[in-house]
Amino acid sequence: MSGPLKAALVGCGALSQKGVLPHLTQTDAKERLVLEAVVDTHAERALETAKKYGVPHHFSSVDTMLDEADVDVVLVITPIPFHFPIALQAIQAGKHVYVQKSMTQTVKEADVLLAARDKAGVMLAAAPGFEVCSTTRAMREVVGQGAIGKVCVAYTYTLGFGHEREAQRTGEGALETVDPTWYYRAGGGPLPDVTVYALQLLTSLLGSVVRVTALGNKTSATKEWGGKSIPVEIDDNAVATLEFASGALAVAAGTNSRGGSRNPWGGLALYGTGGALEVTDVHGASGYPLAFEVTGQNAELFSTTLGEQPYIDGAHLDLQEPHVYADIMDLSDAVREGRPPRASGEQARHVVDIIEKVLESTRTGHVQELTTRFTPG
Amino acid sequence: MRLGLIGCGDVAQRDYLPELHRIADRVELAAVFSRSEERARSIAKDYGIARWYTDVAKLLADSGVEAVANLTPIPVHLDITLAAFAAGKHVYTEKPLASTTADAVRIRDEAAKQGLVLVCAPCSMLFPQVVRAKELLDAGTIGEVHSACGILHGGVPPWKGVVADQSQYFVEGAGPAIDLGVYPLHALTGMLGPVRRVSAFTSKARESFTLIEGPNKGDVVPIQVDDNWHLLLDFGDTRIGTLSANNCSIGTKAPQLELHGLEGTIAVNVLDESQPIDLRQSGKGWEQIDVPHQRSSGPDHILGIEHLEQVVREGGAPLLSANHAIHVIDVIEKAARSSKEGRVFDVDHTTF
Repeated sequence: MSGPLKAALVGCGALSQKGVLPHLTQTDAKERLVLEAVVDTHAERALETAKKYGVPHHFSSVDTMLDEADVDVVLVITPIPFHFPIALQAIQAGKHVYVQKSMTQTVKEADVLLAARDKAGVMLAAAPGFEVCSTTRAMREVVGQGAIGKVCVAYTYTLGFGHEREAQRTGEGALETVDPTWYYRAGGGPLPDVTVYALQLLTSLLGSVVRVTALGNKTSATKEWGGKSIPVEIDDNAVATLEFASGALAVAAGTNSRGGSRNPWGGLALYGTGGALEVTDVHGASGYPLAFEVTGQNAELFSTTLGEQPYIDGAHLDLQEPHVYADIMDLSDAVREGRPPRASGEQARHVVDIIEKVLESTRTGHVQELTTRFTPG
Repeated sequence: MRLGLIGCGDVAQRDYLPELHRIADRVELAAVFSRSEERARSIAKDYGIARWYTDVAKLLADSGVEAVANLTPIPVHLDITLAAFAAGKHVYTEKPLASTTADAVRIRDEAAKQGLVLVCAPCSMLFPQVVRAKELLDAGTIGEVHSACGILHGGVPPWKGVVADQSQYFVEGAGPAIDLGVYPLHALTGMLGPVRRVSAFTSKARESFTLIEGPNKGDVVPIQVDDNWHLLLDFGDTRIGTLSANNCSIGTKAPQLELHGLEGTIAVNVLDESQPIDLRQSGKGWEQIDVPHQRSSGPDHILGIEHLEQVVREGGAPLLSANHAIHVIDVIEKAARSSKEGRVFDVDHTTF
């Protein structure tokens, strides 16, 4: 395949407005991928988006887009509950797919999606895809070499902020009145929205989780947005303990407390019998861990910069959500080069399995066993 | 108050004996017990203590002793505290009060029956940085709190420079949760209220370790209890938290206690009162709050002895109460059962 891929972006909400469209309309991005169409069920929002970013076609239905637009790739950047049906439809139409996190709500859906991918012979890249980030590989090397001994303990605290205060939801006009209600319904909440990053990193370093136990609750019955009251239907405050196949135990928290942790946001700390590996710097806009410190027998400092990461330079350095952009670029290169994308559907499925079982454990009060396995690297 | 010190191990020699002079105007160290005559004699000499014993019964029979500090290894806490009550002495006991909730309740009830004062370590709720953190929390500095975490890494044995028998930390009834996790757990529950439900994973990361120094150098010490504990805590009222304690990993940069509020975060080092509180409020970065403290660094256990003297003198219920200790022991006991049986457990003892 030569020339840039032709893409349709589905979902013109807050993430697309602040963190995807501004990247994809840069000149270097267009060398790899050009936006042919945008889709949003909110027709005016699709139109306004197409106008603002110079996209030739806009649709209010995925069906029509798939019938009428000539695209190679579909980018699924909708609220989480729509990821599965839209990604499946696009795959079945023979399109390569990038899907935002969390890929699906259930393992069952993930299985269907991966089977459809294999049947259609297309590529599927699933966020958050920290595999593109060089720090992930460097940390995996440290752990793999036994530099901190047998890893027994891991912590990660992802403190979310909810979404109702974002600029794209608190302004005027079609592009700045994006409804955050879905975040407080089934499929939303901090676990699939932000803790998913930490789980991705943890599994990239430690491999498969086999069992989980969790507690959760609602921090409040309602949230306020645009003068309206949003009912909180899901637990927006959860803590979980994960047992890895290796025997390591990890604690992960996903809560909407706004204050933040003394530990870097979305950061990660691993402790072994011979030392520790602690992330010391997390880049705010991407969530990439940019520095870590190894203490113990094999002390080491590692640091990198956002600009050293694949695809992220020039204007991309100052735009929001550069990790999303990097994953999309990696998918376009994967298609061109005929290799799997780094943000693998298999890892995303395992992370979905963790989240699904954590939620099940909060509901039942019983430990849940995972059914999927994942081998990093 | 004339105090008898029972147990002259590492904790006594590091945290109590060198610090007791600060309250010498109120607490007179009248007698000391150690199983080793040499140690009892030399400590009595070093600290100007009038009488030393190698038989606990004799110290407890000493009519010049009004109260005792039980600083013995965990497995003998119960017997010594009960013997002290039988001898009519008030008791300050190192943590845990006992290894099981049932034994802890027995001790509490015995103290009540005898009309004696029982003060239970850890002194987390008297540590000045914890007191200050609670003031900040209660003043609404970080808004409503829905999430909290406690982390205590006890290091990987064999520990260097520890004179005590290191095996005592890894026998049934001991282990990192009840030995170390109790510090942040007392602080968390003292600030947020009792834990209503608990779920946990625990594991044994190592089976044994080999002593590298001392008279028993080369001995292999079996690890009989789980050395890696992770508890999930449900405080009710939309508050949940985590508590981790282990002896299978080295230190950590993570704060020992963190409270996450809707308007900010408080991070505290529970075991070192020389460390400032880290506070973050909405719209501001992190700021450090220095807290005045009496000990140069580390935990100030003398506050517990001082507390005992005050309660004996003035009457009233101790803040470092048996009921709080029983609650924490119950949480840990239920965590162990949760890990074995794979489900959430309700905590029974929740009043303190």
